[in-house]
Amino acid sequence: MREITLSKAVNEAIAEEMRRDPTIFLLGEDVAEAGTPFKVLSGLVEEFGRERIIDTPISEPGFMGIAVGAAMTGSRPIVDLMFGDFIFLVMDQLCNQAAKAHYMSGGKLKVPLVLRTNLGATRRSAAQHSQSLHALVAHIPGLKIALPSSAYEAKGLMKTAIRDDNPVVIFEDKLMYNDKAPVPEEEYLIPFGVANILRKGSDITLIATSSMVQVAQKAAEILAAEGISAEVIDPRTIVPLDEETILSSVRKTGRAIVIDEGHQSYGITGEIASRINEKAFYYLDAPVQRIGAMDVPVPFSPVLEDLTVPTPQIVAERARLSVKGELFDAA
Amino acid sequence: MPREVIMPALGMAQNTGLIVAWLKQPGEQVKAGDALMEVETDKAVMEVEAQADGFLTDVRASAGDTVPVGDVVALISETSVDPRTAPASGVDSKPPSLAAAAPTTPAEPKSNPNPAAARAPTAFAAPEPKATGRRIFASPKARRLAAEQGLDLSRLVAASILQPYHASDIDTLRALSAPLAVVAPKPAHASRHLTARVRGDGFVGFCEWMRAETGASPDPASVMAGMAAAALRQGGSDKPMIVAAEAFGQKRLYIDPDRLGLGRAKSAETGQAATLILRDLRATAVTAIRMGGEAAPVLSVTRDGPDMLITLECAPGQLTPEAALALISGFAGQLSEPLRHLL
Amino acid sequence: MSSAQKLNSEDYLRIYRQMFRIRTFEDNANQLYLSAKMPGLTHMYSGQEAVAVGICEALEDSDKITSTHRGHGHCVAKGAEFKAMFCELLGKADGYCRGKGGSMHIADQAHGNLGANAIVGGSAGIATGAALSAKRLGTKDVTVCFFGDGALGQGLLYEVMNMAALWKLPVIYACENNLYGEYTKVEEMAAGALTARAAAFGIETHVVDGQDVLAVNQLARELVARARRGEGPFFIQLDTYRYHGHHVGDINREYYRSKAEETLWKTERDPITNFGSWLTVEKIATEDELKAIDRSVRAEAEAAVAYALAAPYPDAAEVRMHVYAENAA
Repeated sequence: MREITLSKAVNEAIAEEMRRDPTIFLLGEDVAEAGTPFKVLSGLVEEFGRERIIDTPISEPGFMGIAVGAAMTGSRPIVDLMFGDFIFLVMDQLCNQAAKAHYMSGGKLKVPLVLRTNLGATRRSAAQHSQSLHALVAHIPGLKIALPSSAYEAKGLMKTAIRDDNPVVIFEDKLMYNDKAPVPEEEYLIPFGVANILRKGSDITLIATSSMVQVAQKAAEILAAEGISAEVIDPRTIVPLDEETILSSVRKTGRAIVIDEGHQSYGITGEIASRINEKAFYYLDAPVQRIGAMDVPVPFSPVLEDLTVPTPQIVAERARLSVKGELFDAA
Repeated sequence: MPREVIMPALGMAQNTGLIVAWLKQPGEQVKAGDALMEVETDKAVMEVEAQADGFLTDVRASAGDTVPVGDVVALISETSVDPRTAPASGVDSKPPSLAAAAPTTPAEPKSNPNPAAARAPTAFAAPEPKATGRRIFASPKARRLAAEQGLDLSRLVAASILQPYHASDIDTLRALSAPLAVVAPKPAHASRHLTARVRGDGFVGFCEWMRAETGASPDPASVMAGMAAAALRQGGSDKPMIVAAEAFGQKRLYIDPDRLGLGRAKSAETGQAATLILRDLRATAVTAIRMGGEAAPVLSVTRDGPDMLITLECAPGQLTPEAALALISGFAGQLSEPLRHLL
Repeated sequence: MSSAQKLNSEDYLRIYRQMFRIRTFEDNANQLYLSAKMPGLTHMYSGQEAVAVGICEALEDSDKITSTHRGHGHCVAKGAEFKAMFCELLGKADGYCRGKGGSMHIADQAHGNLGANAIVGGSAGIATGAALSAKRLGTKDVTVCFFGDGALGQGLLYEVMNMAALWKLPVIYACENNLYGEYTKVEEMAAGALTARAAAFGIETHVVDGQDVLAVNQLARELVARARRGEGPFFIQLDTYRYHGHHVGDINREYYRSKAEETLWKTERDPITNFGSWLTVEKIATEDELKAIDRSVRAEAEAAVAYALAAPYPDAAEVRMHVYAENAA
């Protein structure tokens, strides 16, 4: 099977959908000739024209609001938000307007839009260009949240997002745009709410999102060499979340670690760990662990920045303690 | 058609208003916009204006009255004398009680929580360590496995195995518990064996009497379990008693069946160790029993012609001779004259 | 409807009736609040009827509007029915939004009303987006974005006017300048001239007396036609006045607005009274005919209020419905 980069996979998904459905258009900063600073959208304006690939002024609230209105009136916009950190700027239009319109109108108004943005640190971009803020929007009823962990996931999830009649936020890991993975030539979609088990295991379940999937996979390799068998699960979408796959796995292994690049506190890891606690408590042979990014703004200095994100070594060590029963704290 | 003059909602958190003064008299002509009355809220004294032209009639509240917001205080009628009673103030639809509307559990329908989790842990009695009385640290899975297999985690403590305990420690625990759990084929004379005869079938008659008296159909197994527990408790023990009642091929576990009233015993958790085993073999042709000791004392009830035979068997360590005698006589006594023992 | 087309007497009577419907609706809504029958708060449009009616009478049913927290007037003017509106205000299942939006989020999608908005200026993006959709999809719809002078404090408005001007979108920004943003005078909240803001983006601006329904309507018809031809966007400042407080509980308001000022607007500048006078002077309608309209509108409202008060609340099961739209596939 051919291997393509995550960047190309996203590009293909958008192009294929735009060919299929003329109501789809894309707007954002530097999306046309520039193809965005990450070059993910290169070539689209040449094929679809400036009427459908629209360069906007630097007005995030403005073009987010415009997308909401366009989505309510027959279009299917894709909003390109250059850095996930800018999501704070669009919160009113995304969370007060887009997320709630269907509910507040008693089911009459629909907002079929996709907000495409990114997450991920270690790019040496400092605190305001390195955040992973998906937990903020996962908290808001009415939004769906997808976290592709590879080129394969990115293409399939993007197509599903574009076809979904609800506002969907997709976060790509900006560090992964050049990472290749096998991606079929034929069309495929990945449904929301279906997790993927990448590796089967019996001693501990590692649930990881986005690029943390690769971190978990590497940790599983380290553990395998020590005789510890880890199961690795990628939820793919956190809203809706495939609880059953996660719970089945934990009931089998009795141990779980949730790994996510959002901050450790008040985030995705806490939510998933809580659900495991509620519904698989009597199968737990160890406390459910959370590994997130350190609760600090992302520092600029590379030496410091690299300390703040989960690594395979950190995951493996936690898994070891978990399996050996050494996570006990009686105090 | 008379227009209602209502006590208005004048502020965001206001539920009542105090009428300070009426500025128009009953029967007086008023025009829309005229000040009708002065009302005091927690903030200030405000004027309430007439909403229509007409005559002020049917004044129902006086200066100094505190009136709930929304209540009708007067009417503005077409004539100064309006003998009509006020029209009904409209259907008062109350919003549905929020408590009723809110779903009670956050669980998704398809998830399958462990049944043990759903029950309120009022009667649950995991075998507590007798030695120290201190908390044992064990994972939920280890506790569940131990309970399911009737094992006592305190044996691990006694064997100086370091806490916390995990599922992997259950194998060790099983090995430590083996001597007690195994039904050792001891020579018959080593275990205690007592029999008693109960004339007639007072028990069946008693169950029928209960049905007639209470209108409910008490489960005979639980009634009998209650009697057995009561007899055992006469030995003075206040600990929870788990009675394993076997009848018609079914085994049921009751906890403290003597305490809730006959026939209303609560089921115990599966996997708990029984304090007393009760076998109701009246429906079979079996008359005499000699099977040796088991994990707990066994009371068997068999039929011999018109009579019932009670057999008590236990290992010597399970009951002293006095306790064994008290148990079988107490139980036999209840079975022969249930009403007398009930009262 | 081209701008040259004159209105006939049927149009005039409809204009009168629509304005009176708004006033009557608001009077009834106010009563529902005062008699503690309506949950929450609402914001009265009374006094501004000529703005909503003057503009909406120039729009087709499929043209879009976005509204504000003071949205009942726009809703009625764009073709809404009393029953469903009162039901929505009372949170009943038969409301336009099945009781889930309430006064501040009332929407009537079938008549192109994309909704009232509780965030000041919050619907400016939506209106501009609707105009973008219309242009892209070639529907020829025009969108009117209603907002108050207070919304001129919101950055979003400037962002979207900029884009509307860049992309020549068929949207009309209608600023209802009722002289107060909540409890503060507009002079204390908006520096410079109101229209200068839009003019800075190269948008053609107009100022009109918002109490003169014919002047509003004539201007609106002209700008709507031009917008439909692709000459938009436009910005209109309509000078008007709200009779009630900012919301229904804002009763003791002498501290920011004098009774004398209020009385002046009510007696000398009332859009309905003045239009009624004009109709009788021009012999388009008699006083009796107007009174008949008044009576029939009041009866319609009374019946609708009774219906709404008796109507059932939504079933508890609806609380979890409509968080997400069902996908077709």
